[in-house]
Amino acid sequence: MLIVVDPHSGVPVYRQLMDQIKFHIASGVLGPGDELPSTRSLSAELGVNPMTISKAYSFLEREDVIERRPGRPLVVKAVEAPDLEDRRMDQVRQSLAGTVTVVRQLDVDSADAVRLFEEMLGAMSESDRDERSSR
Amino acid sequence: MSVLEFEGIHRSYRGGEDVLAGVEFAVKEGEVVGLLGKNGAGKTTLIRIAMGMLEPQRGSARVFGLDPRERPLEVKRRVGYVSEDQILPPFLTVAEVVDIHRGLFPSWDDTMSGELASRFELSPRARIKNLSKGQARQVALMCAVSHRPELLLLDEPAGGLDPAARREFLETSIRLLNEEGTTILFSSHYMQDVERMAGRVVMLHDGGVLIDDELDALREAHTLALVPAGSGVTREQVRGIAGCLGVRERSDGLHAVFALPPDEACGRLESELGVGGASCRSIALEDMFIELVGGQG
Amino acid sequence: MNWARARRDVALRYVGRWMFVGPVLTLSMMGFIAFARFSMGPDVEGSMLDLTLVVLALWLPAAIYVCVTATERRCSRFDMELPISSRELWTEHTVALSIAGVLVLAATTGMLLFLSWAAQAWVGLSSPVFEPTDLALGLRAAAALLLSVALVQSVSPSLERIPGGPRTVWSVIGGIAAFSVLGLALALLPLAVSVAPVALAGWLVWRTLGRLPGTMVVAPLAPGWFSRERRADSGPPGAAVSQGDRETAGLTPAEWTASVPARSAARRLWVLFVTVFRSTTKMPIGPILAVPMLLAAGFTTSGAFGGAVRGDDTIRFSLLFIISYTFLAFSGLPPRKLYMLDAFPLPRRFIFAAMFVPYVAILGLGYGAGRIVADKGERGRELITFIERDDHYYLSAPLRNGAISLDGSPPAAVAPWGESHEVWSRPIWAGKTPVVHSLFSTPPGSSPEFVAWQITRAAREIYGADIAAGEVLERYLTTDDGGRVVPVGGELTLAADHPDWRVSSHGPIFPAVMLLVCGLWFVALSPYLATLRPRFTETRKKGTFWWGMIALMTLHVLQLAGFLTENLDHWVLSGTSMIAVRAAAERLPGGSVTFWVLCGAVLYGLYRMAESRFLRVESLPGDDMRLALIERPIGAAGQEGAYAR
Repeated sequence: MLIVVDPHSGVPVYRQLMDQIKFHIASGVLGPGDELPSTRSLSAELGVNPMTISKAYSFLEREDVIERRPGRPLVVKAVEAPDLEDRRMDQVRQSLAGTVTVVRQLDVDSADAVRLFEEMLGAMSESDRDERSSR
Repeated sequence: MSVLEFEGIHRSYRGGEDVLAGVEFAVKEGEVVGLLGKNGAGKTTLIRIAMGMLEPQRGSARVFGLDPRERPLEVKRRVGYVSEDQILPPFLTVAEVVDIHRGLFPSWDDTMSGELASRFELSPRARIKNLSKGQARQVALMCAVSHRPELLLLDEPAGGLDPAARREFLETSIRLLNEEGTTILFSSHYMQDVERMAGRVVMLHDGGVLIDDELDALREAHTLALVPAGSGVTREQVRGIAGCLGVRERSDGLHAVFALPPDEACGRLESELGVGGASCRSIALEDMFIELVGGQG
Repeated sequence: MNWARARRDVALRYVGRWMFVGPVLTLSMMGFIAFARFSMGPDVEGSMLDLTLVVLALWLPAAIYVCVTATERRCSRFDMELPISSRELWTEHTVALSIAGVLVLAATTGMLLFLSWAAQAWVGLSSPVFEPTDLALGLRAAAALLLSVALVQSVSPSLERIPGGPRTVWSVIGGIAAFSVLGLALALLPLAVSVAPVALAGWLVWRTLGRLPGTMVVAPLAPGWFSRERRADSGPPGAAVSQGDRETAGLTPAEWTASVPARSAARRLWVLFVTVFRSTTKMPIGPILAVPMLLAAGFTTSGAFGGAVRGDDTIRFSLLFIISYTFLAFSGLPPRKLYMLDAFPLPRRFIFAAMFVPYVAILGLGYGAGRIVADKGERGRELITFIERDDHYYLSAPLRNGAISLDGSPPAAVAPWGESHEVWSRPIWAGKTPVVHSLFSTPPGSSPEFVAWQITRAAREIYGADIAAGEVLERYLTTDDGGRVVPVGGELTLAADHPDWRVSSHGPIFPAVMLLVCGLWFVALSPYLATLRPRFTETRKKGTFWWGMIALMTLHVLQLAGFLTENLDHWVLSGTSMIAVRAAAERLPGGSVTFWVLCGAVLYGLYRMAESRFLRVESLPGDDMRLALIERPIGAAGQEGAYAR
């Protein structure tokens, strides 16, 4: 699991942690029952105040993403398949939000924007294919 | 319980203006507080007052509930102190410095000092005066934490250090925090370090405490609003809005810092001054620092 | 050559203070020389020794200033970084230094001129000590000074400061000695010869200027004082160290811990003590100036000089106030680097002790050494003698074995059989009632029995030895043709005949001296230390310190004035002091032991008073410049030296 903290962004460090853990769950890197690193080890690893880590963990716990069991490491909570799908879509929605703002600000036509989005998606899958076939 | 308490601290030098004029805040056990402020804002003075090295002219400092001027030894034995301009006796070897500390601090932990010294690749026989700046600071850090202090006072500890050494410093402090729940008050101009380490931020300005808030709350509930030039509002008008902390006039318009979330700040600008074209966004610590204490605040 | 820059040169920064300190040094040295001279006897011809000492008194303050304190830094780092040619910077410093040296020299010459005028005008004294003193001597010294400036400044002229280190110090000490000799030689030669060193100086300056590169260079870090690695470190600074690093880097934690064995408490205390002392003292100049000075002061005060030559030391108590003054002068400096020590949980009491007790101990050491010399000199010398004056043989014993009469009427000496004679007496301060008097006078008209009786009394008093009056009468006294009582063979040989006699104790002089000297010091130091707190202004701090200095100096000057105006005699002062101490000790229940304890207790009380003021002294980096007589790094003092690579 790769977590990178950018203390310089306007986003609080605990939010960055929450977002990245959620992303890892959505992408399947972290599966249900997987153990999360302890507050201590993660804080030492990232060079971040341990209170920040535990704050992120307790918010995640409150959001039912992870689960605390007495005397054991925190684990990712099991979720129903549709829920997982929801979460994945949530991630996409979050990262598209910025794009939508730009589209609005530049006053780009919605249809053009959607076409561009589809084109880029297509180009990516094409280049994926190329890569695979060239091997 | 408060580990460190400042009450109405006033202090000036050589009969000049007050560097500190009524500084007041407390640090709870286990808290990590970043002390910010311009050069000359009194950060060093405040930390020295906590160490009992300086005397406030008015007000009082309490460390572990004790007056550091009255009971300096009891306080210093439980505190780890590293400062930018602190010097270790230059003519001693690293081993001698360690041994002196071992004698002075009853809670000295040889295992910890050995571990740190080994990690910092310090040579026991090297004399302090022959060490590089970074190494000398590492010796100071090793000495400051190896007695497992209950309170760590760091005055610009990473000033002049390279990024690797700074990171080492940070990690050592965090380790202490993890193992001992040590309370930390540190001043730094490296906002990255502050954002990594601090749970709370205290900003000194004009002799007083300008900001004292949880770091996360600071980022979530503070806004930088850009009022474009030509909106027809003056600095004073914007400054007059409730929640506005400071306004600067720049070439592109007014830069205002609000202690409000972005939408609320923009809402107020619109409802109170009729400014519609302002852009409001959350603000990073460094920008906030510049906007608040930078020129023509 | 820029005058504005030259004016703010380091060499001129402290010159005002030295124009005060220099003459005071000269005054003390001249006073010392004069007393030493008089105690040898008034009739000795002026000698080379006198001239040497006078040249030293004139020259030394300027030499110390020029060679030790003001030379080190040629230009500030700031000036060095500006586009100014090194020739200009070097010239400015050299000119400023010459001016500073000449100013200090002018001040000391002025003091000498004043002294010789005062000696002749007030006292009618024409002593060989003061004779060679004239303006021409000052001019000759100035010529030597210019040469010394040129010489010192031609040592690695392109460095921004003369590199410190033992070699420099030895060459400076050697330089001062050599120039003293040169000054002396010039003093003996016609004034015109003085042109030669000036010309030599000019040639040196010209040569150095010609060889200067375009820009000043930062001086390499000075090798450490007294450090052993110095010799190994022949390469550039830091080279030897990184080698050491390689050797020991990569130790495992366990190896590292093992490499720092826990030392004994005593050893740790020693390291701490050295740390505190070295951190609070300007090394090595502080000890180099202080140690010989205090050793000499203790040695003199013990009575070694007079004790070795005559029975009574007459100058030993003439320096007490100036010693207190010296102590105070040293203790005005120390808050240096206190802020560094403040980071440690180190009791201020320990710091105070480590700062000041060594100096007291050195004074005591000098005193002890002096006592050994004095006792050795006194042993086997006749302390009870006859002095032939006005055609009569007077019995003479050291004045310290006399007594004081406060009402000015000493009791007559009355022998058991009723014979009674007036005793010799003398006012302690001319014209005032209290007198010091002898107990063993034998004025004209004394019978041989009376003289013998007085001798037995004196022997008991001085040696604690019993000798029968009959034996004295028979063995040592005879009556000559004129009916005078005279010693057999012209001299008394009591000590020579009784090698087992030991001079009895002079009384507890040492604790009394230490109480006076250190007590005055602590009394003057306390108010100054009390001002080193935030609410006192700079003026107040400086003022308090200088008031203490002036008060002590005034006491010294009053004492000198007493001597010079002949209201007070140094040998009367000396004898009276010793009588007073012994009398006090004898009157106390428990005697000397109680006196020692009492002096110790009072001194400790005063020490604690000064210490209690010190406990709250506040120290900031840069504070140590306040009363400096010598140049020091500004700002975070010593940091540059500690970390620069």
